[in-house]
Amino acid sequence: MSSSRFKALAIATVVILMVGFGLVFFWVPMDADQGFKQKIFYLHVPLAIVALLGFVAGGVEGFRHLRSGDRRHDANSYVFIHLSIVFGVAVLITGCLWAKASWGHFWVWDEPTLVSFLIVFLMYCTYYPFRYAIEDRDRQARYASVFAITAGAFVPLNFMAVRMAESIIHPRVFATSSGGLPGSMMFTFLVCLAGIALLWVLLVQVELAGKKASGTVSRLRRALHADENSGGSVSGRIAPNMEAK
Amino acid sequence: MTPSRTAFAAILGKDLRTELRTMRSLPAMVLFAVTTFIIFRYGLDRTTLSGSLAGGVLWTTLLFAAILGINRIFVSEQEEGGFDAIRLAPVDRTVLFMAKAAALFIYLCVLELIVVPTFAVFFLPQWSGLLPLIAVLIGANLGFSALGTLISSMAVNSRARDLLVPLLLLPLVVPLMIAATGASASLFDPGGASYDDFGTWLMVMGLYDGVFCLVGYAVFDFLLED
Amino acid sequence: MFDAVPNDSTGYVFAAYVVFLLMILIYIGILGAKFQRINRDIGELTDEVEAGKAGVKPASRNGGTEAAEPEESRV
Repeated sequence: MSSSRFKALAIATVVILMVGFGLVFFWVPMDADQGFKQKIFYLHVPLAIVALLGFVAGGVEGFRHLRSGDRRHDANSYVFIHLSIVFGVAVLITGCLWAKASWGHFWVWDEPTLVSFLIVFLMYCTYYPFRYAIEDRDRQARYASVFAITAGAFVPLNFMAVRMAESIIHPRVFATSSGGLPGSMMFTFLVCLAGIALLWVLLVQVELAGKKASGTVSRLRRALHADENSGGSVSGRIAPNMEAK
Repeated sequence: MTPSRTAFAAILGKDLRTELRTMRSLPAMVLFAVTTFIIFRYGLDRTTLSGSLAGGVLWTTLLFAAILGINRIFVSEQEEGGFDAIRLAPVDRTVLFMAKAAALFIYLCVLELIVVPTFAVFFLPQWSGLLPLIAVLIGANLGFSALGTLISSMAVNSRARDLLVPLLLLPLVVPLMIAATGASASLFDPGGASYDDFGTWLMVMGLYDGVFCLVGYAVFDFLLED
Repeated sequence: MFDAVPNDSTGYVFAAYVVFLLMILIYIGILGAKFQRINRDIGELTDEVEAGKAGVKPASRNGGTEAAEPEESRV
């Protein structure tokens, strides 16, 4: 990505996020039942949506890596999953705060979306130890892609099973806030969603640029030390380096 | 018989014969399960179980016993060079996946053949739910064997083999466990088996089994490449 | 249904947004650390190249910084 597009992306992200949060606090009307605390919705739900889409996109990139054998797709898959885990931490924290604000408890087991998100999050957390436990770099990339695909298929199944368990045991008391939102709330929500999605894309680009840079550095080092230590220095890393191109 | 059928039968037969002769996994799994029941008896301080508690105890025990077996299914291949042999053999590599999954399925069935009656004798006041439970057991076994084979083959080539199998498998089987306990809870009702949502849960299990059989079948090839 | 809910939930809303902001700041901090490391590595390599050009045998560096704990897992 060229530096001017980088700059444009960063500015767009900041502007849209600021506009979104401005709308949240100064423009959008209070929710009728929830009042002020409903404003966490505009942060929590977009973060969750972006994180889940990122997980699924990581699976798609894993699939493309297996199909083409191109290392760049593996790097993409790694970065997507990595950032979605970071976003996932934010989702869980804001979710706990929202639960505390509206129901008086930090954790509510009746809330299927939150519980399934925790399960998905825990599963993706095993991505790092799994990657780290495989030494051979080709095999590491391939196995990580298999993990990404399996986990990507698991995400919707898990949501379905957890939601069903709740609705069968006791019917849901709280309707999802996304159903039947008034226009102004929907607009604010969409602006926030766009802002968070842009933030995700921006951070993905930053991470990829970082990977590329450290890949180049280790390539340089190997070229310089070709006789001294024959290139074993990279093998201890979890993250895929993008050494090509 | 097509070559892959022959290979499938050969690998499955080899696995079952090895297990019969060495008895490496199954006795350990059974012992583990029975001991776990005793721990639950004192941990929960109950002499009889019913409803969702019975389902929870049964499925937790079966899950952890299954993990013991799943940990081991590829160890001999890794140590004795079975992976290299299948790479050299002129057969489709997914045959190995299917044969291993079938072997695991049979292990789990044998395990349950011993453990579920033991569970009934230990804890259940009335046994009317055991017959329909067979359908749930088969559904769960299918899911365990497809996913277990996939995870085990991923973990066996890594440094932290024994650690990774439970770590990767546990979150992945949560939906399967939800469905299995959901379906069995009503079977163990104290007043006799009832069938609330039994069919729905079986359908969830079927969907889960289908998805992971397909995923395993599709990606297994890449785990053997070298 | 939830009678015990505190009325002043304002704090939680701000806490949520502050958490979000803090996470971004921490993220930038981690990025900065990564950037520093890459810079230092490039500096080392440049030194070696310049030393090599001056006819001095490059000091042997065994890439110890490279084997440092990967920072991705800490986020």
